Amino acid sequence: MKQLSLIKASLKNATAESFDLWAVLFSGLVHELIAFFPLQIALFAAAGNLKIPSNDLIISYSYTRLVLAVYRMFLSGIEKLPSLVLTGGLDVYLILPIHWIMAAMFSQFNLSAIGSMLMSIVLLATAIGDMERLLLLVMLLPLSLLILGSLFLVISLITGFWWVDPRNTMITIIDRITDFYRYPIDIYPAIIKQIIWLFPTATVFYIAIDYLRTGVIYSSSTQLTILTTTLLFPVILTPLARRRYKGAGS
Amino acid sequence: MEGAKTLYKYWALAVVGYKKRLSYRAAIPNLILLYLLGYIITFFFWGFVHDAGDIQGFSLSDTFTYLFVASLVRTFVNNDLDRILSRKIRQGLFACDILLPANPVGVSVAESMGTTLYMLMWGALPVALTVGWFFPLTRPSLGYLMAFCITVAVAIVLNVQINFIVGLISVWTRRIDGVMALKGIATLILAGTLVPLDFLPGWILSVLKVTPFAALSYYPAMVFLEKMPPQELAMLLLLQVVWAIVLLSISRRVFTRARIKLVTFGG
Repeated sequence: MKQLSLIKASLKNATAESFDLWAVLFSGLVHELIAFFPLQIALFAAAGNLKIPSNDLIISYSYTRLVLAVYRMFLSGIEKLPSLVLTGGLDVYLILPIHWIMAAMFSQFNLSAIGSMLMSIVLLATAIGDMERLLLLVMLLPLSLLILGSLFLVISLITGFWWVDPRNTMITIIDRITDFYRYPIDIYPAIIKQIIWLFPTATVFYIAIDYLRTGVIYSSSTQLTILTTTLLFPVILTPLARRRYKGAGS
Repeated sequence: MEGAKTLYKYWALAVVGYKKRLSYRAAIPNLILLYLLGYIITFFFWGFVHDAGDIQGFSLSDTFTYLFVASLVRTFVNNDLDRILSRKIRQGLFACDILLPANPVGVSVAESMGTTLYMLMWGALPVALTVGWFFPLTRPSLGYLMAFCITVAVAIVLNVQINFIVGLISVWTRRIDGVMALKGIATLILAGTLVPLDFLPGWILSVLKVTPFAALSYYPAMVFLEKMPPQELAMLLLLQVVWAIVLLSISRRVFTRARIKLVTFGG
């Protein structure tokens, strides 16, 4: 109930200015249409002569965009943690009757991601065509979000409490790396593929994309180890970060 | 002499804007890395597409050079004047600029030019040198290179006008995040930063070519690729200048209305 109250307050703040709200929603949708534009032009210009089927390209693209859109809409508040630590604004979240990380997470909604979310769902539904695989998206999406959110939370905690980086530049770099997943990994040369696989997000994104493309889950024990470690890190780091924080009054 | 003094005032303000951006130097390698990652994705994606053949007379080298030049030009042409103006208007800081011995609008423009200088020196140049070393870029002749510099200079003037008009909208609304986002989208797609405009259907290209947005990225990139014959080049420079005059006239009118509406501390 307390989380719901915070969510309602954040939503109210995000929708305060109606003209700007419509502009934000519209710009989000248009931005997504534009982001899809290069792929659309490429598919049109190549006229079916590409080595990878167009449906596979659309699945890779739209799944990545969907995960990022949902993250941006609901969970991107955790990226504020470094600036909250630097300004002492974290004190306010610490006295709230909910966990401070959840408070930071739900204090911000990015409504411009709605357009991206809707368009990605439409593209996925069109490209997959199989209702059973589409329904399993309900399971794959939270898993991808969990890994992505964990990674971003770990980076926000480290750059907020240990290595001070109020502009969260590491997050923007990891965000850019997720752009690699927009396209099937086969378009990249071997050395770049090996570098991409170092990131836990690559593991979960490509496992999900491969499942949506082929209906089969490919994974290895190494990948599962990487994923488990990524989930454990925030659990270990959160209390350590809390102990390190001194507050604005000290 | 007076002119030189005035210019020096604005130059000093631009240096202040530049130093403000330079205050967090750790952002510079991250900025360069971000751009490089983006260009790596772009290169391999279009390399994959061009396996199927040339598109509208563009080879892989042409497409990548176009996209690289268009986005690089956008990097330092696209200053944050709208954001600066919006912040100053919302926080009442515009009153402080009125007290300075300089034109208050010129103060904000000079500060945004500091951002342009910063992005040119620490964003565009290092990235250009790195990408030029590792990727197959088309290089223009000296004449076209000079024409490219002129088109970029006019693009900066046009972009300042557009951002100025957008920033002034803050006088009438509390937030302009959505408007700035729409402007960003317009400058991204209509300027041909995302995809060469030549890849679009012919009638769309004809319409976009006469808008001021095409002058922001498309024309500089096409001049760099030497895909503009000299006669067309002269016409497009004339068109850019005409748009600069039109936008200057619009921005003056908007500023006159905004000045009447603007209320800061003290009234």
